[in-house]
Amino acid sequence: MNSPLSSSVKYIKTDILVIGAGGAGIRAAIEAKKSGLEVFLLGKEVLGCAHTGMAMGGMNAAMVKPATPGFHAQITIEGGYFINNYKMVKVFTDEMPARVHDLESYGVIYDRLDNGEFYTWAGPKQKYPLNVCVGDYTGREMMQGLVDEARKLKIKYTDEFFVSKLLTVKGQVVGAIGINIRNTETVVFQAKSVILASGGAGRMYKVTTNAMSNTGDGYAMALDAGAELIDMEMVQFHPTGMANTPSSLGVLVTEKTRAHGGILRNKKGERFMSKYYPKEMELAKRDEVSRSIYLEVAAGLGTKNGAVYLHVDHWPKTKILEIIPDVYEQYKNTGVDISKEPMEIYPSMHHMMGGVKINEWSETIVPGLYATGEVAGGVHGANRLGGNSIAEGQVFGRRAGIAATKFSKKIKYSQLPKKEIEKERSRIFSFINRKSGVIPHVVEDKLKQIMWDKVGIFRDEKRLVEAKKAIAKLKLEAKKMKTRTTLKERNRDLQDCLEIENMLVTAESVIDAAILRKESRGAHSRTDYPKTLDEWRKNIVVKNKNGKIVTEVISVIE
Amino acid sequence: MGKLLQKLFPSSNRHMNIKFLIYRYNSLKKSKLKYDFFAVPYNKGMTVLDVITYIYKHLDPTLAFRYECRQGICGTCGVMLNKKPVLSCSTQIDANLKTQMIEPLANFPVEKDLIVNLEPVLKRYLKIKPYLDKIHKVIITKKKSNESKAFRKCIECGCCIAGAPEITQSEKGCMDPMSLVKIARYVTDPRDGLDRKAMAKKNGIDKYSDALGKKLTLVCPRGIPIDEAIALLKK
Repeated sequence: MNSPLSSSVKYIKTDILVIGAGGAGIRAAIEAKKSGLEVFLLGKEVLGCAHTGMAMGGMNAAMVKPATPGFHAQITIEGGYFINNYKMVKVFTDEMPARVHDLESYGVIYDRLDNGEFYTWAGPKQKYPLNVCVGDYTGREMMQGLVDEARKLKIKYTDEFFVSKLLTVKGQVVGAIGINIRNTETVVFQAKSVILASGGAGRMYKVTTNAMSNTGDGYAMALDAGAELIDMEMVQFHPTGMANTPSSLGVLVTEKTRAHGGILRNKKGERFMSKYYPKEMELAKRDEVSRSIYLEVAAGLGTKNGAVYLHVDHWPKTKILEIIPDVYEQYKNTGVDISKEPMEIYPSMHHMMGGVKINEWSETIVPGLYATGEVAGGVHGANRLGGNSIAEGQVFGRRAGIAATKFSKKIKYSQLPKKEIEKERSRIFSFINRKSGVIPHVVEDKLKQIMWDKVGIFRDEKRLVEAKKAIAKLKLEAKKMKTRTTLKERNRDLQDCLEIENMLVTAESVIDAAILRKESRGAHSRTDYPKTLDEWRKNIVVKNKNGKIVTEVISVIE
Repeated sequence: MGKLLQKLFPSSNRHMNIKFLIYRYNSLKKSKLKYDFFAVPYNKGMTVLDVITYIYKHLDPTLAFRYECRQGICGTCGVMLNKKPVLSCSTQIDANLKTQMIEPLANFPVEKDLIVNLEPVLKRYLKIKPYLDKIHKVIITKKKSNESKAFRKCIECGCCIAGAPEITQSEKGCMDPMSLVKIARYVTDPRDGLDRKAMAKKNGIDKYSDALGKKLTLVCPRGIPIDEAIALLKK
């Protein structure tokens, strides 16, 4: 028979396995590779195409006086509403300048002033500018530098590979199992340590800035392996996602636009931010601007497309082409010339502040398991400042590489858990082999709608509980998903099934934490608990207890 | 959001179909190359990627294709639309053509349907050392930074390779345009220590005519002036 279950399993041994080939993952792999140990890098997408490359505006680092790491730390914590992990914030902001120099040694050239100093711009809360940038495609140039360096160091990798489960023995991570997306071949990686850098979960929302690969795989796999998640209720909506055509819905318009004088107006032409944040105006924090836009549209002051306007049509065209060339192109591709007419924008799910709970060395509570990048949580608290995301992955990516190397040098390979491997293989292939069932994208569409309607910019008990029930029901439905083809080559439905299961676990974590936090703080806005409460200056931890998701409240790590 | 969809999918447009001929091939099964016809309902502003995902979702779940960002920046969704290389997420469908063709990027071996095998190109690419080598410490001024800026915009999407059959099909041993742009990127980077111009010469820069350079500049979705890169490397 042609059943994929009858096909063989390939085994690969490596000291350190890095799951995820975005900015943080490649940075971790570079650091680990330099130690001389064997490193293997896995990415779901073609190497270089990870979501990091979609970051536009810039990355924060105290490169130019009067900005200092201390100032960077202070606004990161204020911006995060004081529930960030303070130890992580300190190492992050202290080490960022050195990481910018690393990236330049990999080839990246940040924009400069005439005298050779870094060109920096000020995002929200930045009294002193912190954002270094390359046009409005900072993330893409950064990815290119990292990929170039990985090629230079001859780091082994397989791209278009889907890791479906971390393998553990007696509570320690000993490897991972997954399938090659090209041909559904099962591969088991045996590793002394595993660095999880698998990115966020934007795809569980109907409108998102995120790449298709951001399906919360890491959150679900980490929970399954015994790790804890933190701050999962903190979901960032970027104020300005494209909203003029269905095809471009949610696509990012960088904060750099507003930071350089972009103006928000409602359909009446009113500069509405003056009603909500008269001092900060367009440069209020992301959570604040997103809520303002939401309220404006809800009050009937939105455009026909249910959006608001973002103007740069008062800028000289040369300024547009220098500061935001890609935003110009993105709109041009949809038939809008932003030098002549306003953009239509609406908030779009952008970033998971929360994630796998790590310490300042990217260590989880599971021996041998490290996490970095968007999949990890702690440094951003309740709201992430623009420019801190692609930045922190460089610091904690490097640190994960160092810590994993140290750990791997001390231990021997463990035996692989044979039963666990077989069980996971039958889970994977059950989606192909069962005779009938639910079409995966039907489940996905329901999930996206639930999250968008009930776990969005504003939340309340009623809708959150409805969402919890709906997700529980959907989880049962998802168990019956069936691929529409049994083809082994490029079976997209199979990948969808595995990703949807991960998104559902992630969604459940977000909802449980959101129900528990009975206050409003940062990105978590409860209409039924609108105040920020001192007694809630705490973090919520989500963990897996015998297959059930449970929550716990802990003190902020200072 | 409902309003947005209503506006962009008015009922008058709903029944207008466009026929798409889609390239179908499975290299792993060594299947026979064929083209499948799909009728896809047209909506104003529809992109090539919308067409592809519509077919996958509603008409044929076996269709293989790549995409990630929808933002024109990841470089993974390149295809041939009516024989022209484009990024499928950033290219709208011309409603005046009632039959259109979508194929995988030309001049690459095809893995399956719209997915090409990138390996041979990457193997060639590595030969030109596509990374900063032998770093010299220099102050990069705005002027210096701007010299390489346009060439640094490459996202390795492969559209230029697909648009250069003159080189990829008949000039054996000659570098492809993606490699050429990468070399130009390092020639203009004062920190790079390799003799990149000699590298360009050895790899057949003279096979690139001015006309080809102009054509490739128009092909590049990132607007990289490939003609300028050629002129620079020939100097």
